[in-house]
Amino acid sequence: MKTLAFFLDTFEEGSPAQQVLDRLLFGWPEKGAVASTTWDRIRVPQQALNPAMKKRLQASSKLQLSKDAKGATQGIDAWIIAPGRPENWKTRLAEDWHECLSNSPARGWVIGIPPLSWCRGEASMSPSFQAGTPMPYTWRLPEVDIPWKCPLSEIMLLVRGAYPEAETHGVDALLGLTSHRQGGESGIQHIRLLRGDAVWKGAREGLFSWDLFKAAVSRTHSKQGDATVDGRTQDIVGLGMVPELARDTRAWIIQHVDGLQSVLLTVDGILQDETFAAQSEDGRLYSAQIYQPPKPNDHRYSRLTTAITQYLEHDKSTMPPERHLLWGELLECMDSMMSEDILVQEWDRTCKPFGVNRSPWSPEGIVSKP
Amino acid sequence: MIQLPPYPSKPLEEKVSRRTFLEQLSLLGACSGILQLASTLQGASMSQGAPKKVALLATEVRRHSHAQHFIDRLLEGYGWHGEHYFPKLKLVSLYVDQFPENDLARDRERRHGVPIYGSIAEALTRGTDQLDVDGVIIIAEHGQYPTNAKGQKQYPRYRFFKEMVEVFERSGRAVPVFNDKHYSTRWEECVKMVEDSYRLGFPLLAGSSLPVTWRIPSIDMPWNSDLKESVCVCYGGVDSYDIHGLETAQCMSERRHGGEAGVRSVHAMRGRKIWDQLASRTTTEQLLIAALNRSHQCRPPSGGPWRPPSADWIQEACPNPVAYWIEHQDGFRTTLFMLNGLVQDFTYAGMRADGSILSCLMHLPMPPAHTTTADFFNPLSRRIEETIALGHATYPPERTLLTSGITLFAVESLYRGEVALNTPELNIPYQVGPQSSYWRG
Repeated sequence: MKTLAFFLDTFEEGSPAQQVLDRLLFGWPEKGAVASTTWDRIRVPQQALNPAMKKRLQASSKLQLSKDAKGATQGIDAWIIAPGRPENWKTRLAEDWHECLSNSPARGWVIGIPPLSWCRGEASMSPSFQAGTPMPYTWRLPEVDIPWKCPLSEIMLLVRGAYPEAETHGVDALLGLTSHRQGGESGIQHIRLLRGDAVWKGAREGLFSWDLFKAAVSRTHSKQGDATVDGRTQDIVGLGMVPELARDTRAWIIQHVDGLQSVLLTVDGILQDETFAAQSEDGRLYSAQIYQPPKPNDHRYSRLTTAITQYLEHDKSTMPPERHLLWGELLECMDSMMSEDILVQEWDRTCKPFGVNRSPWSPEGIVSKP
Repeated sequence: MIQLPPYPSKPLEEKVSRRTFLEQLSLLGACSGILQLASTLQGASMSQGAPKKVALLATEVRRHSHAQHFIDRLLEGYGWHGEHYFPKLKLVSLYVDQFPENDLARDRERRHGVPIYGSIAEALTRGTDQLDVDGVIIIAEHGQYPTNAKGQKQYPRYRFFKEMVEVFERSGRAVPVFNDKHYSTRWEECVKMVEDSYRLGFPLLAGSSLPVTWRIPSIDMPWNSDLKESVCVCYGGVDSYDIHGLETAQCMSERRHGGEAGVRSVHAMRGRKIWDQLASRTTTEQLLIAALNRSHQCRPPSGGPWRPPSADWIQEACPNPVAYWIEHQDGFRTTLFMLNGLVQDFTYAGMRADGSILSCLMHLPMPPAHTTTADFFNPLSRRIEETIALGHATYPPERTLLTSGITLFAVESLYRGEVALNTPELNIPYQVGPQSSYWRG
């Protein structure tokens, strides 16, 4: 009997916990068929019991309640943590989970990013775990990736949402795009934060590539402004409308040791989707929309569930632990810059270089004649 | 028996290619205008010369009407292959049939200086006595038009088209044309429209955005596949979204070995009978499930999160299904399921002779719920531009003649009590090349 422990604090419809747990219980679409897991039992701590969870208990004999987190981890083959809200990482809950999983031989997956201490391995942790949101795995329009070992010069990711959710997802997507570049990730020199009008002033001063911004915007399906009033497809960048449309803009300009510049730009008021554009050293441009399927199905979680089960059941990992560490440290750095109003932060942490030999993202399409 | 005219006196099943057809006309010296057209097509390229002048004939222009989508892409550009792209077409005239309270045609006329003319002839001649545009775009979708006893909305596509053809004939010159969605609600009119394009030698592109939009995953039916059966699952109404679903299936089916052979019968039905029929069609049921597995908006009857589709809850979630069962001349089968209440997107599944299934979502980023600008019109706008600039249709007009015919016969089948109709009129074989035309860059 194979057993999975599934940790969550609250079970709400539409939450990452619901999206992944339901797929593990009932299956999910994968490449046109329905995929399922090989776990016979999925244990959930009692604290997650609510009417929605009761429905699942009635619908699936796989699902079992355990008295507490410790009970859930007895004899498990794998574990997943899906916190309902990011702030719950800062509560006792995370400590409980960590304590229960310490010294466990099982592999695990954290949906999101766990506390830095987990990534640093300061406490004894299970042999390995992966951490990730759906961002690196969901479909792209078009099916474009940064080629393996591509010498990148600059990349820009446009995301939306409030701090820190937008940044949490954005950094995850960004590292998924850059970690397989030529030389892998060799660390970060400094981070610059621009906010509000300073973002557009910075653009005029050439702090980031306007060509990449234009390319990334061209991939949207949800321009804001006049488009919301009368469906107009106008060139909001070329017409100079972006600064007026933008709300609470944050641009994180990240200078990597190898010369790559990554820019994470929030685009609330400008777009309602996530896109990226990148340029290789030979001038080639890559751009795509990071597709967010409609709710409630939200099938990017189908892609994520495939990645999770590939790792937990078949040990197919997509990212080394150093990558999670960098993700966590970047977010910590951003947090201090936001709270202390720091505009330029030198990177004062050591960053072990790492690379991956394949992208976490994979196209599903087959090559067709152009 | 319904009385429909026979298929064109010069049957298209002779598979006369447009180039061959033009060459034949040129040899015959049939018309100086056609010769002129044939010569202008030679060596044309998208990037050469001044922008082509186009006229757009619309039923109404309001937010998210089809005409608004096309007009704004011509005037404002659109996202294409990683840039904001401005078409090499110049919209020089408009004809607009209706002006609702929320009209946007006048706004576009004022802001962009594109004149709205009082008649189709005036829009095409622009104050002269001769055709004065290089291409015509007919967008006769949306607006207040009567609905007939069969439930078909009488959009004036044929009237627009014939008034345009009169100008072509009077001018001794014809130019490439795009017709949005199916040709007409009367079969004989559909046939005349395609006949006119051959008779006068102008490229005719027609149909829906479904064949050219994003696909998730990004796949095409491998050309010359040994395909045995196609299924499309979609939503919407009869004589409305069914044409989109049929084009979804047809753009895949036509790539099968031997090409499209034509359709020999159409049987439309509603309700419970569909599930009874499906029970005897194992492959069709497999394909229905496979297509549903590609849906991103498939909801179980209770609402809420996704569950693997099963025959039981599909029926429960969809109390008023509509299906078109289509038999092709070569034994190939197509089935269209319109499953309102269950899905809100367009998915396809096809089975090959080796039993393998190829399936995908034809992704429509639909406003206003999910997007703001209906960008599935981007690739269609691009195909229109190619047709006008290069002087040949990206895909053959026979595709949409066939899907128009299936739509009409399906409506007739429902109207006559859900009877099966033999369709010798739809003996429309055609072939397409290996090139893919959907959005993938």
